[in-house]
Amino acid sequence: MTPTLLARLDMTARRMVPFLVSLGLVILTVIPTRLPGFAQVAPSWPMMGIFYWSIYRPDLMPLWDAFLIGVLADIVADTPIGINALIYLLIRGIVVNQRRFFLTNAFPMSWAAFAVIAIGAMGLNWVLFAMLQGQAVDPQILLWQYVILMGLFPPVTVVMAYTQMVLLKDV
Amino acid sequence: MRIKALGATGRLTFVKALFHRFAFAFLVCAAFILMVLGKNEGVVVERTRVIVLDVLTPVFDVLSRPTSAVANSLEFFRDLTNLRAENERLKAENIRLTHWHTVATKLSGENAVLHQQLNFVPEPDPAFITARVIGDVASGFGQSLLLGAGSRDGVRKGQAVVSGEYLVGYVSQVADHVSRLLLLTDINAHLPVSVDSTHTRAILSGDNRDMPRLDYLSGNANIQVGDLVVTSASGEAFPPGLTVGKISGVSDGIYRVAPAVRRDQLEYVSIVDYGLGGVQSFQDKPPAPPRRGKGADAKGVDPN
Repeated sequence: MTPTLLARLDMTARRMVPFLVSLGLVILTVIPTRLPGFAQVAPSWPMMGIFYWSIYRPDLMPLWDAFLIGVLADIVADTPIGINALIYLLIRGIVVNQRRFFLTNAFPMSWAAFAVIAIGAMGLNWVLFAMLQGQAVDPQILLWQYVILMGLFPPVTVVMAYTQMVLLKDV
Repeated sequence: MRIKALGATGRLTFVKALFHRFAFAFLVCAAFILMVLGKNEGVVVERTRVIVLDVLTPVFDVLSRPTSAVANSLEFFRDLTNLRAENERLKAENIRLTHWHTVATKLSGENAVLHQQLNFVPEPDPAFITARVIGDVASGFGQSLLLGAGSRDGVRKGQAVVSGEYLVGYVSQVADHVSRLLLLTDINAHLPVSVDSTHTRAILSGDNRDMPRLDYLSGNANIQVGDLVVTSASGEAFPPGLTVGKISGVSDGIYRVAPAVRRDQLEYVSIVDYGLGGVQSFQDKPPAPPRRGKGADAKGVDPN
């Protein structure tokens, strides 16, 4: 095996990191935590992944990947297929469109922007789910999920930033 | 005309460029198409779901083990701190149970005699499969668990899932090596039940909150908080009398039921085949009733 081939393999693997991290976040939605009550308030983990990588490495989180992550999230959670695909596509689209804002402002502003985007995303999810299922979910459940999502955003972002620093420095 | 002049590679590049330009619109359309296809529960969508689950199963299986270990050791330490109180409680319970044991022994003997006098044919014990919980879908839009047994192990859609003596839910999706347990709290879960003390029949409907509600109560007999809710025989889904939970409260005329099983305590469950229909979704056509008349007679059914 020549070093160039190894180097190319290494590069390909590294370029897949944003997708794989987001896939890991999809899988995280299904890992049984066995924490009493957590199942009711567990947040949408992949949303944070799509948001982060769309800001910092949109080249490695193309539209197609966001769509695929969404479809996988729908399959794993057994929600109507296509809802999360649409939502992640929209998040990716909006974030890339406003990328300069995210890159020039400090973290609290990103957090605030994520708070606004997450409200929109969860609202859209609620509406589409109600349309496809014919019955609506109690918004109170989503409110708690939203609170937990906001609380988990900083630590999850730190982990992803660290991953980016270590694995994607030269990519 | 211009495209034709481009040649094969040129055309490919053109299509690629077109895709890049309209990728967003194209994928948004694709998402809507998927939603419509999924709404009609198309075979392709269902098949895709099942295949993806099967592929991801080994990952779920491995990742769910450490969390079980952590949860078990946490429980161990919690138990240690509660040892004294637990001991008191068990002593009190033991006194109560000793009394019930005497009663049960007496009744069991009486029952055996009555069975004998009536030439009663006992029902066969149902077949069951024990499966590990490998996934817990935690989302406001659905409440289900993934179980590490699938169609290869004999799991079928609609079968009851119990933990000990209590009903947890039923199987809603089956892949080769994994199946989905729809919890009674899920917005799609509907189950015929009856309130044990008053024999009031109702449909237990989930709405993704932790306590499902009772719909379509037959009459409104005097239901009390704490009354036991069990499966009813209507619909021939499950055998009657399986414990589901207890009435936890009533608000705005809607009774809510606290499930007997807490999902965070589930590590292993039993998938039981009672030989009945189980709960099927509305999309699935019910099996055709056996045809009577000429056809059946012609196939050699002897009326004697």
